[in-house]
Amino acid sequence: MTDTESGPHLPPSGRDAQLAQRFVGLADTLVDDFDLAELLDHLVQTCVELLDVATAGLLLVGGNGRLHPVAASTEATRVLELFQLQNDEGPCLACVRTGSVVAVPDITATTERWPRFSRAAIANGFVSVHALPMRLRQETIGSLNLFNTEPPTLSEDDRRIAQALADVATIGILQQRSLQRASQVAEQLQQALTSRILIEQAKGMLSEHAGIDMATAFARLRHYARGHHLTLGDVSASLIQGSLPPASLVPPPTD
Amino acid sequence: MTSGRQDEHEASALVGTICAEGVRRTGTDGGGVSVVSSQGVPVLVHTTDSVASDLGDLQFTLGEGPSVEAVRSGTSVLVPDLGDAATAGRRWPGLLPEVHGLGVAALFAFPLNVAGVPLGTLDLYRRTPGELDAAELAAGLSTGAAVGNALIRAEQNGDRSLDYPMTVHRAAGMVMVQLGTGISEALLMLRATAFLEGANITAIATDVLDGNRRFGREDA
Repeated sequence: MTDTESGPHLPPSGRDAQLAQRFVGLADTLVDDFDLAELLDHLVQTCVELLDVATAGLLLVGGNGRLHPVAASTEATRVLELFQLQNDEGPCLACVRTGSVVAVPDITATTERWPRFSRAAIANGFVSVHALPMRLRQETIGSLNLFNTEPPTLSEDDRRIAQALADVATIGILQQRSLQRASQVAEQLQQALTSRILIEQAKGMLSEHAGIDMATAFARLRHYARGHHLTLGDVSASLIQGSLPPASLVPPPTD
Repeated sequence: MTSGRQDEHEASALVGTICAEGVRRTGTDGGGVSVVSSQGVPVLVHTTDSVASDLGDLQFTLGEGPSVEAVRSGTSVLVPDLGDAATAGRRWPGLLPEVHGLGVAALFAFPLNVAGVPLGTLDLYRRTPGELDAAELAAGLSTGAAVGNALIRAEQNGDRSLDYPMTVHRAAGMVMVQLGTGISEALLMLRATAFLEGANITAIATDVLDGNRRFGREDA
């Protein structure tokens, strides 16, 4: 996390105090009921309110690998379209691909590199843009776009602060995704165990009913499941619950 | 991130190592890990010794105990003195005489909480009564978390090295046919028999599987 102090031993300026409060607020959205939209909105609003930034937007990489605008400091449609088209070209895409800051202090210089983007940006009155990576180690999950309408563009201080805000948000997003994955796997494991228990109970039932050993009972279960396009778990559940008579599985049908 | 083929016993070895370390750091004598199915049925996937196995089977037989409560509540259930009739004795009346027979004086059940899902429990026992101190308590909680993570990773990696014993369930399937009842009654019969005879339920189930024990319709 970058240092946000403006200098050693100086009393905190009004902005520093506000920034500190914003960081706390940002961290606050990460606990309890995590609300991604709230987190990202908080991030872009902080950028335009406390930094020398006219408009801020955030794009995240979606499941299909494409960039999706997920938060913006403005509702202006034309600006939103500017974010949208960055899926195909522009500083955001370059930022996500490289995992590094893409600084464009003069958008008019990029008309060849990003023709559609630069045209739309200039039409919106933007003179500069900085794309900061939302990145943790080797994983870049999106980009924070900061636009300005007049020079000076983005100061080094402001860039470091914005990056720090983006870093906090990135960690929160990744932690949340990790938790979701883990709880899904946990439930999967427990469902698999329920299935396994049913299958073993069904083996015992079939074995005793038909006077066959467990291996043969299992083979009969599998054979029936395949023949009827059912899972082993479903066949076992039906047997145990009594909706499928064991006689249906024994003896095996002649093919 | 691992690359290439994994040791086929990786998860079971890892869980074993984590448990052994947990026992050492909590000053207990042994422990076991149970995973709970989506229907709340516990299955003992690892134990450090036969006492831990017997304890697991005992709580399964009785359907009550600190581990059962730990899963239900999602919080640790610490019983520093199982001989205390006023507390432990009142909470789990069926449990006390049996754990006495096993020589267990204290039991600490930590839930394996993974992202809010109570996956099962880590159950540590001691032959002498006494509370866990702060460091031991922290060790118990972190060991539970570590075991939970190891189980999740195993599932994600398709690791099949963990043994989920199914003897009792297989036997229950047989018993339901022998009794002419449903599976719940069959399980209840096995549990009741274990309780009445003061025997280990897995041992009774093994007898059923081996054909050395049958239940008849007259038992139902």
